[in-house]
Formats: sequence, structure tokens, C-alpha cells
Amino acid sequence: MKKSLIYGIASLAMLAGATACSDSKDDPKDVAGTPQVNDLHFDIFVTLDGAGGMNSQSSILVLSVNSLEDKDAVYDFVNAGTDITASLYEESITKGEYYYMIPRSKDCFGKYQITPEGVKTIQERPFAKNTFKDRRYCHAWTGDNTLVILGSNGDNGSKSDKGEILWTKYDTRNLSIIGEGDLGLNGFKGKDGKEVVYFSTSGLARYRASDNVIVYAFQDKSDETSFYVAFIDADTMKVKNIVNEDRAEFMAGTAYGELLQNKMMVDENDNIYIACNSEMPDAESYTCQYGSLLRINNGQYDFDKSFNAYSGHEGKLVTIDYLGSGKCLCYIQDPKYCGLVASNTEKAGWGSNYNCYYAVLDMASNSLEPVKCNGVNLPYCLGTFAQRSLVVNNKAYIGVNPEHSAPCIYVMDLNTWEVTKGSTIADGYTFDMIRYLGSDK
Amino acid sequence: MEKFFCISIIALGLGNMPAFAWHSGPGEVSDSLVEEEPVFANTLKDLVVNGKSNLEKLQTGALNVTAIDIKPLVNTSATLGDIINRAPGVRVRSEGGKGSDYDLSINGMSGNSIRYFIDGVPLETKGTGVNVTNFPINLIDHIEIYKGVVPASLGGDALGGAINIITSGRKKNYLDASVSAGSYQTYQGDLAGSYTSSHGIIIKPSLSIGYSKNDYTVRGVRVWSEEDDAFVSRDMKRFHDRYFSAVAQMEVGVEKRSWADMFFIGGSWSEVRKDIQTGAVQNVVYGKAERHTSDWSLLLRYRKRNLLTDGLTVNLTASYTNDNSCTIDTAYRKYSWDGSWIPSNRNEISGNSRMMRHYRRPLTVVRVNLDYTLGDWHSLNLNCMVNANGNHRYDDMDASFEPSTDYFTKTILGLTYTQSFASDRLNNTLFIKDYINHVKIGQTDEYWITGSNAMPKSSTKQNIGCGLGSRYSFFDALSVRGSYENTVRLPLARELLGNGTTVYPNLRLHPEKSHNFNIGLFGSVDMGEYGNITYEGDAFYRKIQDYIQAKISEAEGMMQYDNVSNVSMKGCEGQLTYSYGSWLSLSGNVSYQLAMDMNRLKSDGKPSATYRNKVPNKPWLYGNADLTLNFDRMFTKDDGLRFNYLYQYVHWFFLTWEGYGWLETKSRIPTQNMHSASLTYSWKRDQYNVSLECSNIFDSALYDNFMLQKPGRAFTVKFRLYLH
Repeated sequence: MKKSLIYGIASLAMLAGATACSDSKDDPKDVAGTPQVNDLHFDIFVTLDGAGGMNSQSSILVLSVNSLEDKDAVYDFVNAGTDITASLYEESITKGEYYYMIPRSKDCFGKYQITPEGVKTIQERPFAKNTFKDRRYCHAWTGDNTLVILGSNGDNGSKSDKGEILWTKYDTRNLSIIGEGDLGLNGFKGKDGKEVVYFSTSGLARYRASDNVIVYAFQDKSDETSFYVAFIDADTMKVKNIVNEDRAEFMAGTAYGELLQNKMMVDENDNIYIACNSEMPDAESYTCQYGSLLRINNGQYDFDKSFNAYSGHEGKLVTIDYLGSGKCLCYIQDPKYCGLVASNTEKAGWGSNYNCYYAVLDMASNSLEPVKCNGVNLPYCLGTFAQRSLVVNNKAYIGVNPEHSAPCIYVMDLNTWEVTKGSTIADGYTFDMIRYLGSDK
Repeated sequence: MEKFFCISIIALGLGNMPAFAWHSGPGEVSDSLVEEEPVFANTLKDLVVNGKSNLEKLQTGALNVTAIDIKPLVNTSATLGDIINRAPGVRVRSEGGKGSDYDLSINGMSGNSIRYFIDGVPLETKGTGVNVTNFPINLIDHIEIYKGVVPASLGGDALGGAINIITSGRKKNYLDASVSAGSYQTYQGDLAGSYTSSHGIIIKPSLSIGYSKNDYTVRGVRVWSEEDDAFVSRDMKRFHDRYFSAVAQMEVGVEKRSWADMFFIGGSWSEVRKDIQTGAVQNVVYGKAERHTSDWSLLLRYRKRNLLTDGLTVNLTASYTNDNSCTIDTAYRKYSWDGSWIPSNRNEISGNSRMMRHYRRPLTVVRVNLDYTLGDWHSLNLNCMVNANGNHRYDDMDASFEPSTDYFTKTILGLTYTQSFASDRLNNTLFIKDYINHVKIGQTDEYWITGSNAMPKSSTKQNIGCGLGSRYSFFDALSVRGSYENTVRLPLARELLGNGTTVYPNLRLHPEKSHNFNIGLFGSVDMGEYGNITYEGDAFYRKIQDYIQAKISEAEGMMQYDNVSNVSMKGCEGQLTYSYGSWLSLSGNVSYQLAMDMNRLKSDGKPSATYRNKVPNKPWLYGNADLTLNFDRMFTKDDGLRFNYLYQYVHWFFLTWEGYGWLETKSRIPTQNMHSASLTYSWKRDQYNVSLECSNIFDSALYDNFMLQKPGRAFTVKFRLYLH
């Protein structure tokens, strides 16, 4: 009886929009703007002897599991998990049952499955005209089977060449190249009329289905005080418009696209959001940053200048995931909030430290609420090159890497906003990423 | 308790070594050989002398040392690296064919934990273009491999051991010239000589030129097949792996003057041009990138015995090296293993802009060694080595590359006391070393990889090390020895500052520290007419902190050295040699080592899953077997035929951590079985020598590193002329 009372109170709290913890289950209904898949299962990525991503040299293991919600499950990698170190990267694109990426051989774009027997190559396609650098490209799905990858040509200011943004469009059924070319940005003059020759490595891209446009954010690496967004016709790949945005200095990711981390999101109204960051004024280091969450409204070819949902909040935006109902899950690096420094302008609290936390941002009210379970904030995490959260089938899975306990996953029901503790990753590994796989509904 | 005995040093089963009696200590150039005429194995008869040679003293001393005589192998095409690779406890992991990069380890310690010396002076004074793959072996008398404990007199900061190349002390006029040709369009020519004028001026020129196309077949590489609409596995020839090396040096000096026992000035020059065929794995294929190295150096050597008082010997060496390297990667092409390419938008190695990156690393080394002998059984040695290195980087093509200048200086002081008791049955050595290094960092690019933003621009650090060794001989058939060193190794320029192509800088590197223990026994059993057996068995333990290890970088298919923190290494090795007279030698050695990760916690402060796990990507079981037959007076009274068969085995090992992940998904470096044979005929008292060789007889696919195949079967013929 007492237990039921607690559940009841917790449910009421959830309905009020709070993020508390409960074991109760409501009938799920699809949350608009979030992915829905059949045959859902998850791949857990961990690394040994260090963290993955960036220039990591660690061993990468991948374990496929059917559920992350079993709170008694402890996933260990002793004689378990697929060792992909020799062939694949963590930085990849997933859709359906497949991973897409430029593999370690660097000679192609490939479609793979990670199975208990090893990495299974479904199809590979060597570069034809455009060559991309492994792990340094961004992507946009412009159809169920149409994938566009984009990235700079690698020329960062050599004396004989100029920068350009390349694109290649694949039919993912057989990875045939539908088309490839460049965006014609060679010679592009930036905000002050100065020619941009050194583009950000990958930039960020998302597809806007309502008007068949790829929104591509990029930066002039020689002027990191603002960034640009190009609106590209997804059929012709012609740039329709380019705008400059100086309310933030740069996108939250400029080099690795969204191959590992989610930096952009699209809501149910086809509005596109970009997580951005800027260096703090009077900061001791470039790494001391604060975030901005900017929006490009559906059908528009510029930012909504009235919108900055993260305005007034401290901390650097690391990842964002759309939760529906105008809310998003933010993974934030904020040493001050985590009690490490008195001010975020102090360099000491940044870097590799337990200085990150999860919060739900209500974009309408600009309120930021730390994710709680049983009324207690989720533990602070270490790692800014990880993607431990995902949203699928009306739930948000939130992986944490706490200082004093084993990594584990919390599950947020997006219908009830209840948060429950899910499965645990055995201690000893660096928990980098979870991906979901399944067939699209 | 002197006695007559037969010196029959078996160098790894390579045949009986010629016997010399040294008057110089370890690390010094011998200047007084009992034999004035070099004698080679295939003509050597057992030589009866009174007392032990210094070479044998070295091998049977307190420290764990393997001494290898080079002379029996001068007639073959073996490189210095090949020869070292046959020693117990030593592995040379090669990335490819002739001139390829390599990684040498002693008792499992990382190759760069090993220091190289030439006559006690760092080999790097010859420039980075000169290494064990191209150092002319006809200049070498023998090499000394120190395992774990390195004498302070060498002035090095080696953590795992040291290799000291002792050049020949031949004093008479001679000319030593050889040419060889082999598979994969491999050619080598060596010339060395010595001339003494009537005024006693000694001139020692040498020249060594090598070339290889290295176009051996690589098995199972990825090639695109339109027909299959997939990458298929094919055997393809390497097409961009040419290697050219020229090393020349000249020394002029005098000996046995009132003011100097030896005084030489000289210079050396080397030029290395190397195509770069692959990245850190062979699936990443390049077709145009190159690396050039051009070095010159000036060297002064001086030695005087009894300088101020009887028993005091001073050795002085000073050198300046101008070390230049350039990586050229300007072709925007993407190559495939079939040699085809498509236009690309980026360079081959790093995927960035066109690159013509220069590294200029001036190096100044000064070494002062004072050796004081107190009677017959005690000696003191004080050694000071100052090594100042610069690293200037700039790029002719990449405008975004920021030129930088880094400096680091290291000073190593060493004091050694050696004593002998009981007619040299008991021998003890104690030493202390002081390591001081200074680093000044200018580079700031790629700080997230190099860590330059986390380092002070200028810093000086000091570390103290010490050690001891002891040996007791019960009788010829049984001696025991043990040694210990608390040692420090300062990062190498390559580890700290990268190589500009495939190795990233890592300015966060700390010096490695280690407690090294050795214990062993050895002996020789003379069975009279039934031959002679020598044996040697050693066990070792290393406890290493901030261990530096090369790792494949995910970022670029490149490598970077990193502190793996705490590692323990233990193992054992043994060697057994049977010789029958001068015509048969049969030898085998086995090495086992276990490197364990001893970090309880990860860098994030949490428990590490790999604690007490075997460190991956390291060979842990390997061995060599060697048969040598010498036939003297085959056709004439001064000819000889020498046959050698060598078998090398390396057990397979995992690329990544053992015990994690499903076994069938884990990558391995496969077992190596390599068989090689050589036949050498010499006549006119070794004036003329012809050698026929076949390496990798069964054409096996051999890998020292993951997905980097070494050459297949290769034939070589070599002719050597030795006039003396």
C-alpha cells in the first residue's frame, strides 16, 4: 500500500513535467518527433585502457543486448563482445540494422553489421571522385535509402589550393553512388568579405524533409567568432542560401559531424536545432565555454533570431536529443555546477573530470531541470566525447559514467517522464556509446 | 689462478668467434688486439692464450650481457638488425623490407627503451638516417647487448637495455670491399679501409650504399573488383617502397703519441631516401609520399692513459650532428594496392593539405669518461654525457602549419666502482647515475593530440638511479650472477616530438622509471674430444612506471607513444650451444616474457579491467635455432666453406587485450616460422669470399606487426674482397 502511494505521488510529479523515478508503467503512446523502430536492440560500446573517440588508441568492444531496462543485468565484456578495434571505428552512422562509415582501411565507404562472429561487411564502395577522411565527415539522410555525406576537402590553407566542401550521395541498399560533387564554396566570401579558404573539417548536417533541404553548418577556421549555415537543395545539391550566425562562436561539433555525438535535432514540426558553444569572456582557457541552442524554423532560410533556448544557462553543450513536447535532453559540461570550481572561467575544472551532467531543457520556458531518479540528480559524468544517451520508442536511455559506481543506464519514459534505473555496465571499462538498431516502423 | 684454456666463444651458434684479448673496457674501442690479423670463423683454429679476453669477461661478468662477434657474418648480407634479432631476449619487429622502420625490444621492453651506442657514444650522433638497418657491418668488431642493467660508463638512460656497437680496431692497412645483389632489386655495396702514412697519420674512410625496390608480394590485400562489386583479397607487389641509403665517414688521426694514445677527428654524412608504401597497417596504401633524411656530423675522439697519475685514463668524445629530415606528401591521390589511383583532395598520410614538412634536429653530444684503476682488482669510472637536441619544424607547402622550435637537453652523470676478489671468482659492480633533462616546447598545433597546451614551455627535471651486479664462479661449468638497477629513461626525440609522418608528438610523456632485476647462471663444459657445451639461463623482472609504448592511433592510422603507466615484466631465457671442434656448432635459444598491466585504476580514477592482464601486441614466446658447419681446406690449404641454417620462431599474439571480447572476433599477429640458409666460400685466407643466401626459404607470410607483412623468400649473392 505504501509502495503504491509512492508510485502515485511519483506519477503525479511526472505529469507535472518533473523527472522523478518510479517503477510504474503507463500505456505507451508514440511521442511525436522521436524515432520508432521494430525489433529494437542495442549495441553497447566500451573501450579498454582509455576512452574512445578523438585520437583514442583504445581497444573497442561492442556488446549487443535486447534490453537496457533490466536493472539486475550487469553487462561484462570478459570473453564477450565483438572486438572491432582492427577494422571499424566508433564514429559511425546507424540506420536499421546497419552501421555505415569509412572503415580503418580508409579506402571506401562501407555498410557493416557487428555480430558475435565479428564484423560482417554488407557492402563497400571505394571512393570514386570525392575522397573523404575517415571519421571527418557529416551526414544527412534525405530518404529511407539515401544518405549524403559531406566534409571539407582537407585543404586547410596550402599555398597551392583552396578549401571546398565535398558531398557524395549513396543509395544505401547497395551503396551505389547516386551523385557527388562539391558545394561550390571555393571562393566563398565570409561575413567581412574575406574569402574562406580553411573550412571546418566536417561541419554538421541535417535533412529538412518539409522543403527537401539539407541544412549544413560550417565554420571558417581562420575566424572562429561565428559560423555559417548553408541551405542545400537535396536533389540538386545546389546551395540556395548561406547565412552567418554570430550569437555563438561555433557549433558544438565541427570536426566529426554527428558520427559519435548528437549535436543537432529536429522536432515534430521540422524545426532544426543546433547546439553551439562560445568561449567564456575572461576565461583562463579556450576550453572554458558556454552553450547556446539555436533554431532554424521550418521553411526558413535563416536562424530564428528570437530563439536561444539555452540562454542564461551555464555550461558547454556536449550533446542534445529531442524528447518530444518541446523538450530536449542535454548533456552539459559544467564544472561549476558539478562543484569543481567557483567559476567556469577557471580552467582547472574543465578537461577530463567528473564535470558533466544530464538535464532536460524545456525550450518553451527555457527552464533547465537536472535529470533525477528517486528525487536525486543522476551522478556527474566524465567524458565529453561519448554518446551514452539515445531516444527511441518513446523512451530516453541515459547512460552515466559516475565516479564512485559502475556505469549504468537510466530509462526515462517520455509519456510519463518517469526515470528508472536500468542495466549496469561492469566496472573496469570506459563506457563510450550506445546505439539502437532495428527496422524502422 | 690463471690457466691455459681454449677460447671458443660461441656467439649465438653463429660459429666460433675469433679470439681477441682486449685492453679496453666495455664501451671502448679496442686498440690492442692480441691478434693483429683478423681471423675469421671459417678459418679459425682454436687459439690458445693465457687469460680471458675482455669480450669473454664481458659475457661472464656480473651483468647480463650478450656479446656477438660480427666478423663471422661479415661475408653474409645480414644487417646489424638481423644479427641482433638472433640473440636471446631480443626481438626486432620490422615493418617491412630493407630500410623499413623497426622496433627493437630487449626482454620485452619497448624498442625505444633501448639505447644504441657506437663505441660508447650515442648512435644518434651519426644522424637519424643511420641505424641498425644500414650501419655498415664491415666496420664492426662486435656488439654488446646489455639486458636490463646498463653500466654507468655508457652514459645512457636506457630502461630496458643497451646495444653498444664496437667498431673494429684493426690498425694495419687494409681494404674491405663488398657488393651484393638480391631479390626485390636489392643491392648493397660497402667499402672500408685504413691507411697509415709514414708519418703515422691514420686515415679511415668508409662508404656504404644500399638500394632496394622492396617490391615483394604482399598477401591478401584489398583490391576492388568491379566484377564482384566488392573488395577482394589479392596478392600484390609493393609498388612504392624504394629505399636508398648512403653512409660515408672519414676519420683522420694519430695513435701512440706522447700527448695522446689516440686522437681522431672525423666526419660522417648520410643520405636516406625512402618511399612510404603504407600507414600503420597495410590496408592504408600510399603511392607518392616520401621521407628524406640528410645528416652530417663532426666527431672528435681522444684518449690518454695515465694522464695525471698512473691508472687514470681519460676518454673524451665530442660531436655535432646536423640532422635533417623531410616528409614530402604533395600528391593529392588515393592509391590502391594495384597501383591505380584516383585524384584526391587531400594528402596521403594525414589527409590534410599538401605537406613538405622539415625537421631539423641539431644534436650536440659531449662525453667525458675517467677511468681509474686501483691495483688489479678495483676500479672507479666517472662518466658524464651531455646531449643537447633541438627540433625545428617548418613546412614549405602547408600554410596552416605553424613553424616551431623545441629544445631538450639531457645530462647523465655516472659513477661506477668495480671490484674483484678470490682471483676474480667474485666480481662486484656498483654504480649511481644522475639524469637531468631540460625541455623547451615551441609547437602548439594539434594540442589535443600532443598535449602541448598542458605542458610548461620550459622545464627541467632530475632523477637519480643506481644499480649493482655480482657474479660468482664456482668453476668453469657453473657461475651465478645477479644484478639490479633502478633506472630512468628520458623520452626520445621521436617519442616526445614525433617523426613528422607516422608518429605524432606526445609532449605529455613522462620519463620511464624501472626497477630491473636479473639473475642467471652460465657455464661451459669441455667434453674433450666430444666437443664443448656452453649454456646460459637468465630470469628477469622489471617493474616499470610510466612505461612508454607505441600505439596505433585511431585518428589517422598513425602512431603515438604514450605512458601506459605501470607495467611489470617478467620472463626467462636460455641458450644452449654445442660445438664440435671448429666445424660444427649447434645452438638454440628460447625467450619467454610476460608483460602485465599493473594499473589498478584507469585515468578516470576508476578500476581498470586490464589490471594484471597481459599487455597486448607484444611477442611473448620466441626462439632461434642455428646450425653452422665449417669445412676448412676444401680445395686448397687456405680456403673454407661455411654453411649456416637459421630457424626463427615467434608465437602468435593478440593485437588487443586478451580475455576481453569474443575470441573469434579478436585480431592476432600470427605465428612466424622463418627458415634461412647461407653458404659462404672463402679462399686466399679470406681475401676472397662469396656467399649465397636464401631467407624465408618457405616463402611464408611473416608479420612482426599487425597487417604489415615482411618480405617473402629472397635470394642474395655477395662478394667480398678483403685485402690486408
